[in-house]
Amino acid sequence: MSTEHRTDLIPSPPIQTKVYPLLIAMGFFIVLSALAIAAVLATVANGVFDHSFAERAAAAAGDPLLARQGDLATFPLWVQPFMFVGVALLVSGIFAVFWGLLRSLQEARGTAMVESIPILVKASSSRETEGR
Amino acid sequence: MAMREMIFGGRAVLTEAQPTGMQKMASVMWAPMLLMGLMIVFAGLGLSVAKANFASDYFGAEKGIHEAQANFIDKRQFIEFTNVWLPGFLLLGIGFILAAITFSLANILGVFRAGGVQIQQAFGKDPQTLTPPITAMLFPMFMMIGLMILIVNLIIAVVVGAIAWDVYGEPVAAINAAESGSTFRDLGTVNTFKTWLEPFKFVGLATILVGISMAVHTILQVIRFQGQRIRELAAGN
Repeated sequence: MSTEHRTDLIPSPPIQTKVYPLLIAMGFFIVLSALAIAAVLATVANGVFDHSFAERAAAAAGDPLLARQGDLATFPLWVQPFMFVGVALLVSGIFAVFWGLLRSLQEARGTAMVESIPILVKASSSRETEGR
Repeated sequence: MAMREMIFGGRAVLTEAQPTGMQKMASVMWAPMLLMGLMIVFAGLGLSVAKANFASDYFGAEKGIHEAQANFIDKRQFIEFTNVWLPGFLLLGIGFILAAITFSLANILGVFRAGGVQIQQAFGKDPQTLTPPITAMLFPMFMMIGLMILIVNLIIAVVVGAIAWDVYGEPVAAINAAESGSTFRDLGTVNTFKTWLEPFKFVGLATILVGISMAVHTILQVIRFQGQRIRELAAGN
């Protein structure tokens, strides 16, 4: 049986806990977008490779087949770096949450320990003295 | 109240200073995961070196010879076969290493849980702990889904690799001349699958990274809970 979550004696969560979900969501969205683009490109590839090598090689300027071959060659050139931008944002999100963890260690737990442990030790030693 | 507890976790009194079952498993599992990941990455490196040797031999010969002679065709077959699945294999290795990191973070959570109980018991107080917030429940799922995506990606890539093996088992002239039949269809299949498999494996990697961020956020919530609890103990609660 659990009871209510309380945070009244510690500072509010660091700003990093609000920033990191945005970075993670953006990064994940970019990676998913890259997959969506690649899925569309796969249908283009399917159409292009539905033609023989000779037809593909003979495609003249203005031919949709040539344009589609161009798409197949150019899109991956920027989609892959775009995907890495997504991964970079995800890793930045992890960095941000670690930063928030560090701040929580210092501001919430560290300060609480510095202020509370002397009181707790004093209380515990006075209990021992009373017990004797 | 229930929603707030589900997101941030509530608190419960524990009688034993024990990590949860998942945390106990994580304390054992991180090492084999790391080992498997490293083995896969090094095996991938070995295969890449073999592939580079074959590519060196292949492109070291004249075009007319390497496109038609059987021993060069075998080399190209291996190169094209590994080109399809080796990137996914390497990324699966990285996925296992990231899963080892996730397990280590779960292990840290177990140590915090047991340690927190021991300290509260030492001061003669009710040993309270944070009940799992939503991030604690989601991060193992994200890690497993990510690994599954990477494994599925590798299985599909191996199947497509086998198709590439068949296609590139023929001389280049025969592949280029194909206008119908299995070689023609298979070449289209290989190129179509290769196009979307590339980002698909990154979706797996991204899913594991989302899980890691949630695991770290769970540690952050535990740290904050411990700060709150220690002040409560000092206040005599």
